[in-house]
Amino acid sequence: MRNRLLLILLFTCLSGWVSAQTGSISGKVTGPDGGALAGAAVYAEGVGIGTTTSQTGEYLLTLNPGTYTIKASYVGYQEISKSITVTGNQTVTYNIQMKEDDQLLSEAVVIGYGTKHKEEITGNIVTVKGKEVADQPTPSFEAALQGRAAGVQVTVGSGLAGSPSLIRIRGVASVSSSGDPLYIIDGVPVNQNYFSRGNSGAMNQNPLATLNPLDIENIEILKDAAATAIYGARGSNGVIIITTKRAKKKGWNFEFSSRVGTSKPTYVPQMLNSQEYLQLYQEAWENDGGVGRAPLPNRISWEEAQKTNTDWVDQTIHTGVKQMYSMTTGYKANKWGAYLNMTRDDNGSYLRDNRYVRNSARLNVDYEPIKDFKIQLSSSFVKATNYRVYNGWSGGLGAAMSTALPIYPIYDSTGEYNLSIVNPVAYRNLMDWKTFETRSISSLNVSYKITEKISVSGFAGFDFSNVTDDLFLPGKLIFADHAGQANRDVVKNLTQTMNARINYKAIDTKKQNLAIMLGAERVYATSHYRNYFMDSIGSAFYKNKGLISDKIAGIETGTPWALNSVFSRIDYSYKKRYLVDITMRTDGSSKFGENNLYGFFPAIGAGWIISEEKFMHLIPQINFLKLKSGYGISGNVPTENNAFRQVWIGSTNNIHYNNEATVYPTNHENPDLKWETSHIFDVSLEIGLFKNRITSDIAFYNKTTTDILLQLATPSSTGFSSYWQNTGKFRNWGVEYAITSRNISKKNFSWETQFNIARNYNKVLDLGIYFQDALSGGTNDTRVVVGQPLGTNYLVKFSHVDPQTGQPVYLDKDGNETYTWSNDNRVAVGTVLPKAFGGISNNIRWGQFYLSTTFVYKIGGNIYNSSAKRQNGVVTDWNMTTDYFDRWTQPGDVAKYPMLSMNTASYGLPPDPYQYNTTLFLESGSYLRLRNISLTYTVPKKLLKDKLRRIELGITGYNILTFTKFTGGDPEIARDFENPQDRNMSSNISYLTAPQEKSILFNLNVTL
Amino acid sequence: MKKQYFKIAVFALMIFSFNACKESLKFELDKDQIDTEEALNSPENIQALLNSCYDVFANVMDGDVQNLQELLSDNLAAPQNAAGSLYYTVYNRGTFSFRTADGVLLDLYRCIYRVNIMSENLYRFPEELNGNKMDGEAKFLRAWCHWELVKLWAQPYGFTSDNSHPGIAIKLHSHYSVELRSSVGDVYNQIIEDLKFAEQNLPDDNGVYANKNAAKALLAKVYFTMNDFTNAAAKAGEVINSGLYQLSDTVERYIADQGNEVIFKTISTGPSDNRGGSFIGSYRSDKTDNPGIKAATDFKTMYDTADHRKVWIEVVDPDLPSQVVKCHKFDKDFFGVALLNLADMYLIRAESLLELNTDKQTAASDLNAIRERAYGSDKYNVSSGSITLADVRLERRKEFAFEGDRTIQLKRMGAKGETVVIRGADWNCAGSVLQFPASEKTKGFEFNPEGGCN
Repeated sequence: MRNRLLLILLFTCLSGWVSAQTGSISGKVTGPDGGALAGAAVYAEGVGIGTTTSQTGEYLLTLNPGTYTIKASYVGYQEISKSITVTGNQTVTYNIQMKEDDQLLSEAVVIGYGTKHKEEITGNIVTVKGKEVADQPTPSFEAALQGRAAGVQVTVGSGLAGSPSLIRIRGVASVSSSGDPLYIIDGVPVNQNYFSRGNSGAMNQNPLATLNPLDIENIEILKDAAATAIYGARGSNGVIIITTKRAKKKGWNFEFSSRVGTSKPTYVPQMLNSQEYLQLYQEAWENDGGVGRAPLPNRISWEEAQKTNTDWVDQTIHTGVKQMYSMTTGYKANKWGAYLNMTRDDNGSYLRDNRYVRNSARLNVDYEPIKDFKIQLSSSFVKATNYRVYNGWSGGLGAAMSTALPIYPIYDSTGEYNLSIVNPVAYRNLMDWKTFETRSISSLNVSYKITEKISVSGFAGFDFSNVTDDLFLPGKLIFADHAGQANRDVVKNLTQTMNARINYKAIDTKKQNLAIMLGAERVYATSHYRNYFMDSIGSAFYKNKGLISDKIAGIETGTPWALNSVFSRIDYSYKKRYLVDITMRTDGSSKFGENNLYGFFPAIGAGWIISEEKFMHLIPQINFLKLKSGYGISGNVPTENNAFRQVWIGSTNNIHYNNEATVYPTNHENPDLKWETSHIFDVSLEIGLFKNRITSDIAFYNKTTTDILLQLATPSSTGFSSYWQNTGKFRNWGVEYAITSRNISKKNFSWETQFNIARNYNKVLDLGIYFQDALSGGTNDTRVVVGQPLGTNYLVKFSHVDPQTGQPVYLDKDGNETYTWSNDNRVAVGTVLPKAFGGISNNIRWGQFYLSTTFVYKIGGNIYNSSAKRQNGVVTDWNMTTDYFDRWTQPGDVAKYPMLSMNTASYGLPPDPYQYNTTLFLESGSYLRLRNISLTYTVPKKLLKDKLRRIELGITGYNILTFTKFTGGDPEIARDFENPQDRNMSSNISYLTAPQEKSILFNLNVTL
Repeated sequence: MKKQYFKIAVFALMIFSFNACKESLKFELDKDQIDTEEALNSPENIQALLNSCYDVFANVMDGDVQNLQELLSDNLAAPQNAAGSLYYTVYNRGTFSFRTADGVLLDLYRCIYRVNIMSENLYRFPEELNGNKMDGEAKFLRAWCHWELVKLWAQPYGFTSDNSHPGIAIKLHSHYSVELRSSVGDVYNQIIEDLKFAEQNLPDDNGVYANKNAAKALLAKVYFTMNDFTNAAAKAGEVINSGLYQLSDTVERYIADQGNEVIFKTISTGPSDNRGGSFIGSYRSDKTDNPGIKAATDFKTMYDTADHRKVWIEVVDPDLPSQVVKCHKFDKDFFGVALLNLADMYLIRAESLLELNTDKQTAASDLNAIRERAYGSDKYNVSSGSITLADVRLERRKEFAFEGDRTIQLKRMGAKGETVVIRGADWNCAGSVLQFPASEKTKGFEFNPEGGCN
């Protein structure tokens, strides 16, 4: 209803403007080769009226009668200016052909604590335009970075609404501490705790889902030390800087966007139906020597089982609906400007009753009260609700893929839900589970240019979030004789950042430039957790706010952490072709004790713009050539705030023995805990050919990480299960290549191709006194093995099924065949890390149409289908997949799977069917996926009424095609991680993971 | 120009000043949390630390340890074949690095860690605290935890003639260090050393906490496990002869008032402070015919009609495929676990004396004390002339069934040279010793061999 009102308001406004007596200037902006330039700025100087060109290069300026100086500008081209007279009710046609600027590639790029022109940068930074991100209907904005930048590996989350993706820049360099990059939004470091709700039933909280992609102007990805060292202790895993939109065009601007579409799974799990299940179950029983009919799980009778055939997968999925409506208003005058966006995004997934609804508002204001004194406010406010359902190992689709057997009915004979099983339908309909999020990421930046050479600035920002997770389970579901139980987990995070900087241009001549930046910063963060719980309650806490009190609350927990830093950057350039940057940062972290409170992180970067040399004029085809290299040190801190000191539970606690108080320690202190340190070297070459028709970038890097922060699973004799320690050494090295080619650039037809590929090598060099089992990802799935990459699949080799007996034949460590599975025969057989990955994008413009496609791919690496070992292993209380039909049934059979059996001994396993970890379930992780395809039609200007600047209609397909050999469903797996270590080590381990979604969406954008 | 430099200097000073103070990087802990300095700064806290040692000990001795022991014996039927069930794996003597009793292993060492750090800080309050007594309690608990560990994770004393076979890691301090396994001989030496210290330093009366006789009783049990019958009989005799303990009238040990038969027990103050949870959770069968742990079929006929202990056993669907032999010994809402009992001392002394072939009179009298209580009369008494080792051993099996005693007795007999077969496998088959969890794997740490029992 609210959306409809907005539309009515919009069109009422439109009809008012159309009646004005004005004239206009319209035309097309093209490049030197005649190809249309989209996004070029065209404006009437001095009157505050301007626009940007459409995908077809067209523009329209509506002006009162008079004479104007019309200017057109576009990055990389010279500004064009012409005087034009406009009369009432007439349209003047003015087509503009731009000329290339001498200063090619001179886009302004956001770096840490400042901006630089691209050609001046010595570090490795990739820029992704906000539009490229906003156009994709991903579960969360970070997923849209996939395939956009070489060396940035994105594993998109599951099909759950709002699910988090996994981003790793240039490989994985951390184990127990976070391997995620640092996210900075308008200068504010963003809280990225994926485990604020703990290891939460296969559904981690995604702190990035609250960000509205439509607000993003640009994303800068900082990859090497020369770029990240300015963030010191937090830069080890790369930095992603997000700059939000601000008012750009003078006067008022309005934009309305909407997107409506559907969601379906990329893959529907193929589980056995009732008849098939009974057949295979009986076969297992008979293979084990059983006589007569097999006793069925849950004491269900054969008669009942035969007349039931529940398709639990179908009961948990449907076609989800997605809707997004956004309204943007911008105003810019001489001294101030404001950008306001309001968006409602209702993102329904294909899992029934699962939605992520985000209402967000952003207000960015720029104000310059006196010359050279600037105030910038960036503020956002988001309220989001996650309508949750069980998933993975806790139920829902996960149960449909495992314990919910087709022989179980949804309802019992009395018509009530069948609660003798984990009934996905009953849980979904009877429980009430919602997560409410409130978040604001806001900042204020004040800068003053004291003299031409000296400027100062002060910055204050905060990131506040309140995540309230309400779960209600009625008494019926928990077999209690009361109404039910309500649980509320509240996590409040607040990160405050304050910094002050001084910039000094020591030398500023045509020949030489020397600029010095000096700054200091304090980051202070708190995270408070509190639990509320109540029995005998009829509904969730959000419906019973009056019942929430301290009486039903647990103790509030959460100690703060802080980072005090001083930093400096010295930039020197000679003849604008020889560049040197020196960065230094000292961080003091509250996460370390007195012994190692401070860490020093220096870096040096150097660049040589070879194309500026005279001799390069001999090769006119090369218009830009730059060699750059950097070396530096960056660090990482533990995720635990108090790992360095021993924390005790004092005598005020509730644990008593013999009614007397207890006091006890909870961990082993490690006062020598120190910074994880990465030494990073990078060398790269940028090249522009044929007047930038082809641009490419090739980079080599080497990152050696020492003193790795490990939360080791320690021997029990230490008295504790884990211990934070600096142990071991890793190396990541690799090459990245990216190329952009404007294949065709004609007046009415253009075609651009972007391609990138990265190859990362990762090797564990040392692990101290510990063996591979001291560090595991999640549920015993991956290991850290010296000489192998991080996240190694460490499994027993499965050789074949014995055609005579149907038994599985394994290989021992020496490669000899054996019928016995043994832990001791585990070997490093694969890795979850791919050999290469990247993306291919094509953008084709033809008249008013614009077609854009993005393929993403991964070559090599493995997927471990951890749930298949139970689905298609020893027959237990789980359903099986149709893949299991390919099993041994009689002597002579050559089959993929051994004979069916309920007995672990038949498979040579220890008495535990969970342990069937073998290469039988290890598959190739390679895939090629059409991540995004969109077709946009821009309504020609001539069909639009005066003030209506642009209307775009489009259709977008997401995950439409996937090419993979993986038998377990979706080949891209970011599953239910248990902790940061699991996030680092267990991508590509599938365990009842919901496949990604496949969406088709219709878009409408209207600009005034 | 000078003015400008001044401005710069002031600004620079300003921005650096808030980094100067290290204090801004130090934070208080959560409510209920304290740091080491505070934790050890009062005699009350040290006392509370010792109390937490008993707490963690009581939690792991609530049946967790005893059930593992019992699952390796011949007293139980196979538990349900539930995937991922530790009890099923232990019963099948098939533990391995990823399915073993890692929680029990950790809890026992957690107790050891706490007693060590407590002992190390007793020096802080020489006046306020009875250091010797508290240290005695610490050594008592440390010895017991090491003993339970070595019983579960190593072959028994006597498995090799010089006891050089691998035992468990001995932990005698609270510093972070990764220890390798000591030999079983060294582990037992350490246990005895600790218990002797406890015996010397503990008072005769220490309320509900460990006292001198508790140390003696535990020493008797340890010596008995080592087949050191002289010392076992002597220590059991000292406890019996102290006159402080009498057999209670009832055979029930898991009730609130066991009289003064009990030498040491864990304390449970109510249903919300249940210290028998693992026993109750596994065996309780007054409301179900399908408890997690069921008795072996031997128990259908173990107790004759006149035996009061017969009430512990109930057979459902006798002789049918669905037959279940239920054990009602632990059908309670809560209890503290009686860990050291006079009855045990009688049976240790009786068996030890018979093994030593001496004082059969006392041996018979000890056995008869148990029988008279079980039958409520002296009708089933044995004479010193007719008493056999088998009589005492059977009585022990009947009396302490399901309490975690059986396996070590069988292994002890095997180590002594007797032919002992447990559920079709030799007493010393590899899988009858639990495997260590994978996290124990550090350079030099030897794992147990697996399999060989089925």
